[in-house]
Amino acid sequence: MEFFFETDLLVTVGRPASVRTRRRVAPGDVRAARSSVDSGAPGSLVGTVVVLQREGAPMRAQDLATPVPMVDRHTSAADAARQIADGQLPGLVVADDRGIPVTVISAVDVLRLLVPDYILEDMALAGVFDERGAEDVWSEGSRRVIGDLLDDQETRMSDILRVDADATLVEVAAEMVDARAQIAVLHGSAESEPRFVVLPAVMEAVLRFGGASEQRGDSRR
Amino acid sequence: MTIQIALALLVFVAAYVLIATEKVPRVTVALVGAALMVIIGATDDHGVFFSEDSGIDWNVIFLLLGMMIIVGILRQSGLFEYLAIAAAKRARGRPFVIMVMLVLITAALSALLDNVTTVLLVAPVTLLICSRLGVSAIPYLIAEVMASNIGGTATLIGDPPNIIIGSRAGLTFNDFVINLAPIVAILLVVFIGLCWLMFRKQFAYDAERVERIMALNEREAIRDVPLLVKSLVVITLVLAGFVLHSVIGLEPALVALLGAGLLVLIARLETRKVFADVEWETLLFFAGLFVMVGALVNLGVIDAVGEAAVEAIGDNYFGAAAGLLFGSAIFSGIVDNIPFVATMAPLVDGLVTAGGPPAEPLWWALTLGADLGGNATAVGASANVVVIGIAARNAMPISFWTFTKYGLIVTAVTVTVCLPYLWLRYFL
Repeated sequence: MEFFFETDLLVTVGRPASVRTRRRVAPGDVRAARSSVDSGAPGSLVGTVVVLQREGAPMRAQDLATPVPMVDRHTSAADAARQIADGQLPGLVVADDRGIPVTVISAVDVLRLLVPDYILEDMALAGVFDERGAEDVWSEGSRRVIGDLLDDQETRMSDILRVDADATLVEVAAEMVDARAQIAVLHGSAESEPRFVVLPAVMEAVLRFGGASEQRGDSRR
Repeated sequence: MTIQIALALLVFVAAYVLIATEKVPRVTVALVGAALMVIIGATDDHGVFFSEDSGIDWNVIFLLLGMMIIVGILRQSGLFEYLAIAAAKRARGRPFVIMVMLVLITAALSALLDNVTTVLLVAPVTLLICSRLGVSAIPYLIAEVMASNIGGTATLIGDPPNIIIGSRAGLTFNDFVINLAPIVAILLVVFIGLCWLMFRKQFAYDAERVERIMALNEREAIRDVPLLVKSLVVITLVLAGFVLHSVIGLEPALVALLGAGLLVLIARLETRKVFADVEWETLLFFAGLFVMVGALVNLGVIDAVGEAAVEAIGDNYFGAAAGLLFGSAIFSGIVDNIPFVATMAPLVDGLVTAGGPPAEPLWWALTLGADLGGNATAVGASANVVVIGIAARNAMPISFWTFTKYGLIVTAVTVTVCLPYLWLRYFL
């Protein structure tokens, strides 16, 4: 059985560009998909590989799975922000001391770490800084670590959502909406190399299948 | 003692203990306590809703509600942040001068706003100033919250216990200003001296960082000039309404509600923003407390205690005032001063009614003791808890004992200073 996949390709050499491509790869072989894409582009793949459809079978959570960078409570806010910016990620997975994913922090949560609390408590203060003052603000925020966010009672952290590898697209979508999760870990993936389902991949797949259904509906009309 | 009275006292004492230990949210305690009072027949619907002596004091509830709405809108203007940054720049970054200015601004604001709102406004900008200056914000935050408790003593609307006392005693805004503003001014001078003594080792700073203070643009803090103008006009009208109470004949609660209504009308903000600062839980807490205390009034417990107190005091009202002053300060340092004053107000009312004009200074002794006692410990006043929370979120933890160490000194000195004031002014 073969997969078709499609991806937004972010080329890191020269000016970033978005390239869409389609290739055939073996089931679940994201690495092959990546190398296949990489072979045609000067640079490395940073974006998310989205498997679009599998011939003869409904799409499953494992078809959407992709690695996501993990951080821990000692990761600095600056490093976390860098990973989000470089990967265009909706959030990051936080692992415990054993490297097991435990929760997800959204990109906004990481941004919250960079902004001093006193500004968030009084938004009128946000405008009073000059350039030098703003640099100081970012410098102070960058030194904070993910653990500060985890320990902050103002930020509600919930356990990472786990989806079964054979869950259908509808199940995955429904569970992510229900948990308001942007990233879910694939239940049963290896602890040493956990794989995740990210919201953009789910959206892409939903749009693709939704679009196909819509087109079929249109043709019937 | 009947079983009903015994049960009512049990409910009351248990509620007090639960409020003091903070094991259960205080609003839950007050409402459950009120419900139990109704169930045991200590009060009824007429007693709860319509009785001036033993029911919910609607003047207090609606005065608080009106002021919460007005202040909630006013604080969105950025005025307070503007004042604090401008003061720091005028002080040219000198830490002690900045502290004095922030203390005075906080005390002045606190006389017009409730203490929690005041510290919510002043604490973030203090953290910003201290961060620019590279000094610890802890001494400044402690000084400010204490200044808010002192400044709030000066007026009817400065501190919730004052509103309870004003309503029960029929004291006006002007009565509070005339009787308490002079001693509050003296206390602030004394307090600034104490700040120098307590924090003098922490006033070292890097002169090169002063330019970071001077580079702050306070004008950017004012985000909505029309809203600022509208808010200032309304709050001026409301204050005029309080001052002219005897002329216009409107109760402070009505003045505040009319002001709130006018400001809501002309500010044209989203409903969510208009009512964002209304502390519904606090209002319900007050209502529950009034019902519990009212139940004891209904059962004659308060009268019995009052009669015993009248007998013990005789005509020694200065002794009673001194006892009330220090006793209130000690009690308010341990338990939230709101339930304490809600309980004591009907009791003092009985003493004043029995003693006539010579006993009236007892109201001021109760006010001074309850308000200033809030400084004694980290949990003595709601504003203390709020500031400690803000400091913790900004990686500047203030431990219970750090606060209490300074709080006990400030409370002992300020309450002691009040004693000669009461004697000279009312008993000499």
